[in-house]
Amino acid sequence: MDNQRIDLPQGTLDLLILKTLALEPRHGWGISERIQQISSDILSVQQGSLYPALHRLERRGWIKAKWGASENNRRAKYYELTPTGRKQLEAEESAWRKLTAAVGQVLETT
Amino acid sequence: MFTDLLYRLRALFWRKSMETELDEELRVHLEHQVEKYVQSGLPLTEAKRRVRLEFGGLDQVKEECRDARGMRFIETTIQDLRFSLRMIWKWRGLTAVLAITLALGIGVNTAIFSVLNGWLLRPLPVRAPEQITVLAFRIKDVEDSHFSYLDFQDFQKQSNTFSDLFAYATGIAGFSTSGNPTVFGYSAVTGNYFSALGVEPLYGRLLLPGEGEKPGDQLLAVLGYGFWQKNFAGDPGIVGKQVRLNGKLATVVGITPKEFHGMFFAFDMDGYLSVNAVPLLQDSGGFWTDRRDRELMTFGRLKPGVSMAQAEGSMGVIADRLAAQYPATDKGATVHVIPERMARPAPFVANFVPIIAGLFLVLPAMVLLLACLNVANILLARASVRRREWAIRAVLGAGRGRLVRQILVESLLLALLGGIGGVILGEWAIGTGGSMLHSVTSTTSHIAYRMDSGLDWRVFAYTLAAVVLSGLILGIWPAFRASRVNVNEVLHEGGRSDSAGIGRQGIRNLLLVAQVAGSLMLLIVAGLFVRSLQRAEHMYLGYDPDHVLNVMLDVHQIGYDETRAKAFYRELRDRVRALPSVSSASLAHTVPLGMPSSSAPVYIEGRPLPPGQQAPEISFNGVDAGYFETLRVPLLEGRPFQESDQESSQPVAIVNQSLAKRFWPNEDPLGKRFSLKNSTGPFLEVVGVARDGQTGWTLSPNSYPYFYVALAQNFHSFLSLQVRTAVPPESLIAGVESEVHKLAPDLPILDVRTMQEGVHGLGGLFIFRLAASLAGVMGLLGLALATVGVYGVVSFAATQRTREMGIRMALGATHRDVLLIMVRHALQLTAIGMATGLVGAFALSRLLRTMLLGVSPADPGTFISVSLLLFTVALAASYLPARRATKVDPMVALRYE
Repeated sequence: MDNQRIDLPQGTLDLLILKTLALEPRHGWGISERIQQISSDILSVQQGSLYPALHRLERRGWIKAKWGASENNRRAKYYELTPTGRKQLEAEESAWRKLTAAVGQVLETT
Repeated sequence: MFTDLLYRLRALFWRKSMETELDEELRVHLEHQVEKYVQSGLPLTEAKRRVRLEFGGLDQVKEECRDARGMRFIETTIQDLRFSLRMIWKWRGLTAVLAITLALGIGVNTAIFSVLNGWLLRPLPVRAPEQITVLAFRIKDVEDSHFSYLDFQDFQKQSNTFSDLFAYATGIAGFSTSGNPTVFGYSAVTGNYFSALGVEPLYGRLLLPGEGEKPGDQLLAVLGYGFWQKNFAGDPGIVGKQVRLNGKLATVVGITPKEFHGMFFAFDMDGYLSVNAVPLLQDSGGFWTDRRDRELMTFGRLKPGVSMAQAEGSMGVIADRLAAQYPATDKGATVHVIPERMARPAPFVANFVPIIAGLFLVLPAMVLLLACLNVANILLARASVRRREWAIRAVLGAGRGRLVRQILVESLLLALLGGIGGVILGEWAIGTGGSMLHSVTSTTSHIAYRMDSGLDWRVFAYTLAAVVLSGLILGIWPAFRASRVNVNEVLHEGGRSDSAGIGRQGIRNLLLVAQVAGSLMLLIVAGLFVRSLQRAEHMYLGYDPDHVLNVMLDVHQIGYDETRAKAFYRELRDRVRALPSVSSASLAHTVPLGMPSSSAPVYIEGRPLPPGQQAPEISFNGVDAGYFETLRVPLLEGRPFQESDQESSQPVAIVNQSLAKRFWPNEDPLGKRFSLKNSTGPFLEVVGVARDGQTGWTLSPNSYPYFYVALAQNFHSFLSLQVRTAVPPESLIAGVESEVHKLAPDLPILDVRTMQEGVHGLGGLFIFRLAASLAGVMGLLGLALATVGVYGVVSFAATQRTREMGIRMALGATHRDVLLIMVRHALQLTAIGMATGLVGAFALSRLLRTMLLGVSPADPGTFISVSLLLFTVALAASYLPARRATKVDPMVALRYE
């Protein structure tokens, strides 16, 4: 099953993180699991790049961090989307759709 | 954007808590992942292992998170700083020595720049000071650059490139409110002086344009802040009152603010009078009417957008117009326009001011460079010891940039320590220098002298630049070396110290050569200045200043008229002559090296001037009959003035050799006649020829034409009394002063000093002494630095080559052989350095030619003796550590690690 996993292309991690947080706040591990889950296990998140990405997004003000109790009652750092983050998500989503549409068109005609 | 900033700040100041949070966060993640694997059936240890593998290097992830915070640069720099501080503490002895070396180098620069700053860079405390220019009036054969009032008015009316033209003349008067006059140094200014400069009064008002500029006008006075504080204790009640200046009534209309000192460089004006003070107080008969009566220093405020060249062109047009209208007085006149800053103290120095300033910045810069080279050499020696440290850091992941940055931080920190020490040293030096200058110019003189060289932002900026530059110079080579460190090689070297470093001694050798060269140049410059001083001290003065007291008085200050003045001076001189231990006494208008002389146009009888040419201006002095004897001025022909030379008899003159040679080259000058008014007389007859000597305001190797007139025939109220004494002249000061006060109790004594003091004073040897001292200090610093440099190099080489020397000695070399090897290396480098230095010194000294008196810039005596000195010192400096190397027991050396 592992060899079916595709590594995330550059730059898309941010988008996926933002989308994952759109519904509800999660902690880092939760985000990683969720992405894997929803993508039917195709996408695997490089553990080493998840946290730097999270910190970067936090610095830019698109997500906000808060310490809370996790499922097994331990302290965990939860991230949630900020209003600016929501706007950023919309912008990146539409950019992504345009990009994939364009690439798709090129692939079809050639 | 804002959140970004907040986040970064939090990352900077709450770093520890962020670190703990990060640790916790990652730990939680790992725990969850482990749990997940355990739940899917993996045993615990296996799960843990898997998780760790998947996650990758934990520390690396942490690093990346830290990077993501965006404060990396500042964090690492703070780390570097702390590390550097630890290093400095670890090597604190060495650091102290290095810091002191740098402090010496930087301090010299700070001090000299500070003085230059006060001289050239500090703007006047007026509105838009960059628009203020000096106008210099140039006409053939006339030395100074002053305007006559009539010419000034014409320029003022006709110019369109200046928004304002204003002028002033300086003078000294007796200022009294009721009784005892005090000395009052003033600028007599045109009415628009204050308005053109944009100065506002502190109390009362200042002069208005046009005030005091007609012959019948009232005499108005504005007091300077310092004078007002000293004499009226800051009481504004003096405004509006009447005072007496040289006995004449004047009204005080206001007070100038504290920071305004007038425009006469380095002097604090006691006050400002309306310009009619010149004819009223200074015996200047032709001020309003004679275009040849040139007393005014003129300034102009450029209109915005007008260039210096445009202004000069426009002035040239006006000058030509005047030359055409008044050919008798203004033919051939030109006007130069010079920025005010370049004309301190006077416009005639404008041409070589930048050169002098540049030179005096170059010398200390060289000292600093030498200091840096010294320090760099030592740091490099230490650097080779630290290669292991760098190799380990590189292995641990430090990039080249990081290593370079750390070394630069260290060297900048060291330079900063040196800079702080340097500022302290520099300010101390200025303090001592200032008091030295003060003692030379004033003890007994009442004229307020002011030296403006405090710390301001420019000095700090210059020092900071020096610090940064030094830090970079120091750090650059070790940093370069560190970044290229071959990790493998270094780590496998084991305990052996840098034996391969000898090959890399190349750069250190080069540094030493540079040090020796620089040091030689500085020493040679110092030697030249010292020789110049010697020449100046032994210069033939043309008179004997030893055991002569000089007293300056001006009886106008107590309102004496001509008859009373003459009687007073005659009586004073006779009474002083009668004092015990007085050999002779005389009176003169000016004294050599004490005051500037008067000058007048000279028309030779029987030689009409070609059309369009002006009569040459020659300096002269008014003296009494006893002058030549009192000052021991040799007369080669004819006779001195006598009592029979009175106002009613034939006007006589005594000329010096140069004047005789100039006007009557192959004839006997006795009996010849010349006039100071015009070619038709009245004529003075030459009755004597005096030997050439120093007659000007400053020492000069050239002889200028000069003549003397009889005081009896040319009255002055301002006179100097010369008293030749059999005992030290200082002991007679009190006696002479009391004689003055017996005759005129109110008369202020303007100045009393021995003539030797005058010779060593500002117009005389002081400049030479100053130059020699400064250059000497820097030369010695250079010598000390070179000595330390040579010693350091040989010492280090000795340590490095201990094994080698041990082997040689074990194989039969004697102590002497080893010594020779060590010393020879150093001396080879020294010789190369000296050769380079000689070339450099030739070039440098050519630039100095204008400042040397009677010494050729390539003076062989100086060059040779200085070179010998340096070589001997280098020899000694290399001998001592080399001898140490020979003392080592060969067995110990062989085992030396």
